[in-house]
Amino acid sequence: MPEGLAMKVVKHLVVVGGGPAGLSAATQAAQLGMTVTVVDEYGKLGGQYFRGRQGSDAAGSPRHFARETQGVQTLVNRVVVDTPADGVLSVWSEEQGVSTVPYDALVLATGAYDRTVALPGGTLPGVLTAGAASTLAKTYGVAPGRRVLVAGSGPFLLPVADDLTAMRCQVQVVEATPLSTSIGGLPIIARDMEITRQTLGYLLRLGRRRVRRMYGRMVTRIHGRDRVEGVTIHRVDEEWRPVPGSETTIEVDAVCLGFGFVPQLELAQALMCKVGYSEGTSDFFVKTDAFLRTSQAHVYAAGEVTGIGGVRVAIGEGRLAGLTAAYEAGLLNKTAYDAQAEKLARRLVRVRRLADWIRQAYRPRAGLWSLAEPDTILCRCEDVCMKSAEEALANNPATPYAVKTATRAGMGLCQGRICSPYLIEWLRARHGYRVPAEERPWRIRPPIRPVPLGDWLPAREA
Amino acid sequence: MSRNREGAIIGQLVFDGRDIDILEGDTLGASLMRAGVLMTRRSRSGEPRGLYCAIGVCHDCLVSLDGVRNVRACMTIARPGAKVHAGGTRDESG
Repeated sequence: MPEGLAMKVVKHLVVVGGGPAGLSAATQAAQLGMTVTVVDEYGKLGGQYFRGRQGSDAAGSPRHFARETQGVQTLVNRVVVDTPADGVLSVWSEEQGVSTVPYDALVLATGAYDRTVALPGGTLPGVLTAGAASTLAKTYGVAPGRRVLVAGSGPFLLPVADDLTAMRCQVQVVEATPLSTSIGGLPIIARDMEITRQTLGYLLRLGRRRVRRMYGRMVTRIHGRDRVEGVTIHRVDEEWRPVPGSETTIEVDAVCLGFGFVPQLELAQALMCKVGYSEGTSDFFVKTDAFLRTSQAHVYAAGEVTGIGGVRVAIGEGRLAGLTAAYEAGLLNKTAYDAQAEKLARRLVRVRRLADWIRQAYRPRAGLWSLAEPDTILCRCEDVCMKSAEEALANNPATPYAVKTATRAGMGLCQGRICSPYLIEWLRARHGYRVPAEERPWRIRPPIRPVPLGDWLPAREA
Repeated sequence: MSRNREGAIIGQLVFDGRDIDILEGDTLGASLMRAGVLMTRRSRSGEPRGLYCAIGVCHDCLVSLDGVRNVRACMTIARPGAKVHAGGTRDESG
């Protein structure tokens, strides 16, 4: 008899994050007989990807999940705020305050958000992340202005420009990476029919709507008094350093910035999962083996937290994580697991190839960390400017914590989610800082999400 | 393909004394942006700020809602009759 099948107790899998990765993991594990609970901070499942695509019933979508599973508990409008004991999560909601959710196994599918860069004028109303512009356009039919500049690096700028032009905005795209890089990627892109079709669709629509696209250029300053009025754009060299004398200024009502994404690693860190860092692409990620096991027993990770890879990687990893969780809970034998895991892993190799190329090709370059001026805001919550950060280093070693302690940068309500990725890269680029191995040099103490003190303190003392 | 959504107006909220239409399913932030309001708060040093990440991470869109401060405009469903004030301003308490 295969080991594990004799066990009678049905194991409880908790999936944190109801995006494509989390829902794929939940579906896979539930179909194999696990008791599954999905926790998500929004009112609707689907994550950022399906938030503006509520009608979709594609794999990884809430509809697909609802059709394919029965009896999965979904806890929406809830955030995980603490890991008080082995096998227990503390979860907060506005209605119920802090409560606990026990688990035997855990899938971390907490997703990602846009990377923020400090640049002059970057905090003006009318400056949004590219992800924000996309969400607002698709979910609410709202645009931040009539003349909108979409700027940054990477293929995500295209769908954002597409969403905005569909709302009749006058859109211009400023891509920092040269056109030759995109052309150089054609052999990799062409091998992937789905992505080729999608990209051609964007380019055709943008061409038809006369969207101006500029390559090898970067927004270096945003102008305006109480809101965005215009931008300065420079030509940049291959390290994204502005070429002197190449600037132009144009009038716009809004700027959408997309310099890639950073994963939400706070829960993985609270669970002491090992974290990796890629120096070349400035990316932190949860370390997993080929079957999505983290360094902690019965904790798995899937989707953007294992490295930014997009929706297809998220779905593939979710399935494999759910399968591995079910196997380790004794719900299928080794032969069946090996066969299915190998199939899923093979498909993942294919979709990761393009994701890896994108991450490498459009990675942030050194010039990005030098756009800020002394009075440019580093930390939006506490209004800490770059000059204060610079001064903090006069008598301290160049570390993120030295800046935090001396200036309060990262001590506001976002808990450093917005400024810490930039702070770490700025310290590396400008002050010779080295990121420690297997650790992200920015920890958030519980509650790992802001919670009203009146809810938090009683729960803590209980 | 997404289109400029022409949903039904379900009522109005009041933002710093100004009536703002609400469409079904709107967050406070969506209603405000549709009406052209970009500044939703003032920072510690009085700088204007607005919706930035729109997914609840950055806390740059904090407003007060019916007297409750530090409410994220991007995450809070807009209800007719809501009294909203820009965060970090003197009006906030009123």
